[in-house]
Amino acid sequence: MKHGARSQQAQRARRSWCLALLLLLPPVLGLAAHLPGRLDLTEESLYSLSPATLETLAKLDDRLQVKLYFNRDIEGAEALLPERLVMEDLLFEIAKAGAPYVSVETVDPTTDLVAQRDAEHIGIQPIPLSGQDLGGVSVELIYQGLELRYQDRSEVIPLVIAPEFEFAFTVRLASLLRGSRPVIGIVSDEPPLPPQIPGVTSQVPPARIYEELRQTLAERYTVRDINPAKEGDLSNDLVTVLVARPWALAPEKLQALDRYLAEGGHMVVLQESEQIDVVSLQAMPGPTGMEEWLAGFGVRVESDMVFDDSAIEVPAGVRQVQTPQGMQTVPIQARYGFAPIVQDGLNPDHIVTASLAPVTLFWAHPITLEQVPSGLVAETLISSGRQSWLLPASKPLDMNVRNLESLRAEALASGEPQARPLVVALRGVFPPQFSHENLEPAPGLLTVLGDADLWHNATLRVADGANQALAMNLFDWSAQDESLIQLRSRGKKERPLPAFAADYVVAQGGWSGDPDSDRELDRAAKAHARGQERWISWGNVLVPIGIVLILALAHRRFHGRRARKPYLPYGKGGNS
Amino acid sequence: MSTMRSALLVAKREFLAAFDAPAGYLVLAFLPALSAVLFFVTGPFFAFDTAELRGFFLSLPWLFVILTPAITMRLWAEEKRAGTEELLLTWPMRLRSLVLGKFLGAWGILAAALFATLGLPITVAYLGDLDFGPVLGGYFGALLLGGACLALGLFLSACTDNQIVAWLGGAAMLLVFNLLGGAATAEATPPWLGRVLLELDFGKHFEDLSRGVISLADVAFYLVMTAFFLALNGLVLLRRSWS
Repeated sequence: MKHGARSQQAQRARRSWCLALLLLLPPVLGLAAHLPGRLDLTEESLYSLSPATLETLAKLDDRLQVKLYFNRDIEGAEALLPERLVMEDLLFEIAKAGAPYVSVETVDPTTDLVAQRDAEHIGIQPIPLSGQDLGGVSVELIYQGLELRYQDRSEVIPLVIAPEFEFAFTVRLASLLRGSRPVIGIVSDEPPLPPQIPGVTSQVPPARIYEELRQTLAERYTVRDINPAKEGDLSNDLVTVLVARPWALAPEKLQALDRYLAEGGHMVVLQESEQIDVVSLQAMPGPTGMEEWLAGFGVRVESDMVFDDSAIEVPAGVRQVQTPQGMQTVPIQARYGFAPIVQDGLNPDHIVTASLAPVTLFWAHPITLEQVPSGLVAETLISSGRQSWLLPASKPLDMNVRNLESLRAEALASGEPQARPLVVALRGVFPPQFSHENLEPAPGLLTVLGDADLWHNATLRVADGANQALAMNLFDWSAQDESLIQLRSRGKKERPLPAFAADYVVAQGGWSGDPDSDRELDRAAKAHARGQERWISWGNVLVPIGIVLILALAHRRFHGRRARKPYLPYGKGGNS
Repeated sequence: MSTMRSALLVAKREFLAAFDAPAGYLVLAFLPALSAVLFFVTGPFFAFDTAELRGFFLSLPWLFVILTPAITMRLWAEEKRAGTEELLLTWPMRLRSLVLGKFLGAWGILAAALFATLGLPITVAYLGDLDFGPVLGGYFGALLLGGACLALGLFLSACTDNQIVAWLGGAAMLLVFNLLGGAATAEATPPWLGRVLLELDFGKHFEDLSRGVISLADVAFYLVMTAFFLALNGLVLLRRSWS
């Protein structure tokens, strides 16, 4: 009876323990889920969002829907999939940081017809990617866009890439949270657009040379032509002001711009000491009216022009060549050193230039930074190539081969080549250079480009749109708050595997140029690469099995020997 | 004897006993070999052209579905079937030492199996510039995830005297715990329940760790789950010792 009572008591205690455990589990897990500590072990702190992004996410007070449009499987372009993984990881971090307001989703428009329709509707177009397969040339459609929806507004990034992902996301989110479209003011001497007449397509005056740039910027901003001297034009709603190719800028305009910058404004200046007609290539030198003002911040845009060995190729005339069919006229292509293609000179650590394709500048002037006032931080965004020289702007700019050869000879004789800054940015509190009443100093941003022609209607879309991308990146950056301006590119480091096929081709003496032998070499190289991969793969499968087998056999042998050992009593050699 | 010292004695005995039979070696060979098959042979490692081990770590929760119940299935079920459980429960040591010892022994076997997979990071580091942060995070996470899986397996092994039932039960339960956060579950359940189930997903908590982000919340989740199943294991044994 006594035993029965104790047993019942024990059973009751056990039941209570079970119940307590089950009841305790949810709250303990709930508490555990909210523990804040976190350690990012990746080399580049890849999965740690910057304070600017966290601050922007903290401003959410309604649901934010983020949709990544990206292929799930891309045959022949699998190397793109790690990019997708990085973006999904960052979205995962964003969803955690923005909980409970942020919901993220990844869709594949190539398999989901609704997603495909949505993507096309919002302007995310597929990028055709061609490749070779057994059946011939194949074309894959790659989607790589992002859509953000907040309240009744949305922002779309038609092509998003991993290194710029956080910046692009945060900039768009900041724009969504702002409510209305940010405004960019443009100060220039261009003629105004003719008045709109319903039903009549108005012609853009040819002298309105930044019209294409305005249209590009209008995709994300409200673009407004302003006169700084007019009261109210430099209003508080401007996120940045572009001073495009100033020409004898009136002092009252400069004074207004000075106040705007000193009070924390953001400004981009396209500064050149001559105006070049892109058709006739005639240069007209003259003052911009901003030289002294810029010099007050330690920025001097030189009058000489950069002549770079890495430059675009232009048709530079024709030459007569003797052929079996007789004399023939052959076009000559030559490098036009005044149009440098900048690749190595793009600052890899700056968000504006980190992932840009090579940009092409035209008749660019180097920028010298000296005696930058204390309180201002200067950084170079773009420099010319290391093989670049300076030539006076008075030199003929013609693209004929004789002129180009003579210019290069002069450049070589002018001294040692070196990289020269072409685009610089200054941040901090700008000391006013005019006297202003009731000035309220605040940190501002000034970006100076020693080239007023790279965003000209005729040049904006060259270099596969890289100049246009530079414009968008620069204005996206310049239009942000101080915290976003400090957001840096944190791209995922490339960690490629050895190129077995390419190494094989090099080891065999490279491509011969003969299609038949090259095809044979290509086949052999691919077979070699597959063989190497097979060795690595199966080596990793079989080696551990082999090692474990050896261990097992050794253990069995040792065990067997121990088992065969005769039993000896204690004290006679047996185990003590 | 202190609880920990007794637990370590039991752990040592279990660890060594596992390698007295071929099963221990099978476990030791299974994980690295199958991981390498999934990672190098059938996986897109070479097509991705990136020196990283994410694919390997992401396959671990699924490999553990098969492997961890195989380690734990015999730990209690075999004792019960052979009739040594009663003897074990009468040992002069606390029940918690026994449970902890069995768990640590099983954890040691899993750690040895994970150690045998080191060939993968060595190969990848030889092939390219491997970031060792995610590798450290991944192995740390694998030990935590494995611990929770083993605790669950140990609990199920204590509930039955049939090793096959213990293995099948463990694998089925782990499968469920790995599918809780899946899209199918989210679609089939109301949102609030979907969120709760997502939080219980074993694989979801491993994702962060496998990419090199050690979050205290994930670590705590695995520790809580391990402690929970070990406590349940203890209660099952307690019931048996009283009956």
